[in-house]
Amino acid sequence: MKRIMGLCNLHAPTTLNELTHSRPIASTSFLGRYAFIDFTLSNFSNSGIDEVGILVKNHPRSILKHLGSTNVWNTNTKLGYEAIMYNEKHAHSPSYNHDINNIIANDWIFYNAKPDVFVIAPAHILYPIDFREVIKAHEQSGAKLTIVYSHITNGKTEFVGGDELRFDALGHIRELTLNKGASDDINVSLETYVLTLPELAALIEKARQTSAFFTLRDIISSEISQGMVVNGYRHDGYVRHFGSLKHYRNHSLELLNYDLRRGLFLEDWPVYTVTHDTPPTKYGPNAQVKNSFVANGSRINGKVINSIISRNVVIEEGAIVKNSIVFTDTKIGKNVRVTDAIIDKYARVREVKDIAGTEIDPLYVKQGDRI
Amino acid sequence: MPKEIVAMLLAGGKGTRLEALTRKIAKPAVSFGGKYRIIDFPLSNCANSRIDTVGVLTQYESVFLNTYIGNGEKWGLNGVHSLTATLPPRQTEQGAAWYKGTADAIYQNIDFLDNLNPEYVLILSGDHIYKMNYQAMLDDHKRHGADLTVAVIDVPLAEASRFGIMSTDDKMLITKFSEKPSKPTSTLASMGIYIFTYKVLKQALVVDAKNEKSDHDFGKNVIPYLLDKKKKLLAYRFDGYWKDVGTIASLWQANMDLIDDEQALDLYSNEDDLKIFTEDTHSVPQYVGRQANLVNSMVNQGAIILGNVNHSVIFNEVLIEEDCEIVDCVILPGTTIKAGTKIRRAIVANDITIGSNRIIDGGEDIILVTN
Repeated sequence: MKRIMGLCNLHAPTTLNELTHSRPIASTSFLGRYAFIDFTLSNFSNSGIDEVGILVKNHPRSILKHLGSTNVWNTNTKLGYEAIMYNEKHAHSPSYNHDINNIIANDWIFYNAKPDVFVIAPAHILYPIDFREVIKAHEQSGAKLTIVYSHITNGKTEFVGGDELRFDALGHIRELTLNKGASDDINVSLETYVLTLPELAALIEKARQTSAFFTLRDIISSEISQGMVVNGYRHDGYVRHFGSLKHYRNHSLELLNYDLRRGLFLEDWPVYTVTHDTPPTKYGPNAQVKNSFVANGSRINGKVINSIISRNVVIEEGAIVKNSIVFTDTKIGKNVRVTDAIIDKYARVREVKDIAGTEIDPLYVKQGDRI
Repeated sequence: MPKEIVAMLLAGGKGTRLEALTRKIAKPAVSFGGKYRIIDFPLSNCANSRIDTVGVLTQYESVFLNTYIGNGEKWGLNGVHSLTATLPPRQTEQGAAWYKGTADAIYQNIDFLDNLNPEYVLILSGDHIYKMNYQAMLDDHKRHGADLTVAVIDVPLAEASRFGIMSTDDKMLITKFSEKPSKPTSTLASMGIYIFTYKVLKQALVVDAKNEKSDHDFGKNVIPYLLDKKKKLLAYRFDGYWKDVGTIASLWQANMDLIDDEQALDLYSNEDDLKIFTEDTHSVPQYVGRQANLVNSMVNQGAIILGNVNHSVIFNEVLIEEDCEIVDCVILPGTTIKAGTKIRRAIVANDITIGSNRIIDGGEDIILVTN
């Protein structure tokens, strides 16, 4: 049996603007209940991958807090693990703090695990996938590397800053370049790679010889341009790239649509997250909730429309929350109106009675702020 | 290292008056409060009282309960100094026997207690909904140098004949105990929570086991025996919320108490440091639809509410379709109520589908709706 190791790569330069000033995307709250990394780790778990390394770029505290000491994602809690891979030496030098240096700094993890095959996947691109199928296709292709990709028809606004792929007539990937939003109809990389240990080692060695600043993505792009045979594995179905606060808002709220939601939350493909032991949500006599997600532990006695309410949120009588995302442990006071806003954790909105952004430019309230 | 106190939780009863709800599971495993099972309450109380060693005595339909309890992880009772043991009846050198009564169940596990060598034993039942810190009761027991301390609660005189009723002197020492008296002379009812000094317990159980006329019951036999032997029996007054949920009506009422009276059993504030822990279901967040009207209710994660819900408790993975009217109901996990159906004053069993446009009304009573 082949030994497979998952690497969750958090080194992508992508941010969600204000939301990710003090936390990585990986541990940012999503749909009021999850962190982004839950989806990657659940894909690993549901694919039978029990040995996982997490390539942490920054804010390790936030990642450690989410992972805790619990074995939420492992099948065997002795043999399985999520190893934190953090490059302390280079943590504060942006040019050197990249995935290749992180893997080199933490390569002792592979001495024990002795993985045959690696699946490397990011946390800022969401899609449900069975990696066993990708590995099978990779082995059948005979290619040195397989990249999971999707075809999109809105490349001018989506996956901007991500990677665009071009194929040759044989179906091999011939080019991997930055998507600068020039055209809509493109194939995009899901920044998900399958390759063997020797191939990964070879890529890392080449990267070191080429440039100390080269990332995994850079060396892959460079090798493709020099003729390396790379296989593409096409993922059809739900996929979203999170590259800004606006994307965060839109990709969250659109999931209020049931059919779209069924694409992310597949039958028999559970998304595991850390339990917070919160009681069920309580709806008061004045609650009016329409088309919204509500996480447990909240107490709602106001109006909530087209919104996402996270854990332990209190929405008092007369308050109106519309087209907004409210993070955990937040309180929206009496008669306060919140429209097109993102309210971060532990905030209290009480004095200002009208908090409003726009659909294009959602208003952001910082963690813990009193408004 | 001997343990100061070990908890023994009696969880073997069927709960016959809960009708079909306990056809396949024991009463302590019955669902409660949108998310919990009855046994979560005493087990969480143990955890919150920093009692780290718990034996759970199971008998009726023990497989599910044994699996649910597992190693105690759901309540954090699996740490280095902790032990959670499920204790169903077993075959020994002396043969095999069912537990013949509450006292016999403990007697048959004297070896388990001897190995732990505790100073005190806390006897609990898996039938009640309440939040309590047992350490305060233990402090009382130690301060008075009691042989047995019984937790008591004031009940209305009219209901006193349903309980074990105690008379006490002005120092709260028990002078008289009558199990379900026809003419009660006091309103102090036993809550079925006992702290024994272990030496006294062991001696009494050995005597009781030899008595062929005994029903081997704590209330009927062991407590009267200790009173007769002039042992020091102390009553410990509890003035919080405590409910026996032995019937469909009382189970329904306790669920409604969670909605109607936040003071009764507050699951939200955690100011008392008595959080109730339970299994996590890995559900998606609850979704409330565009046409939904949801007031005065508690709803758990994984539920989808598209119709009208008033004054009800809705468990995880419940689907309430459009134009339903759910009033004064408890809907157990995994159940679907099809469009246009009206249900009033009922507990609806788990994992069933109720067809569309039906009318189910409990009238003056509370009915249990099953397949």
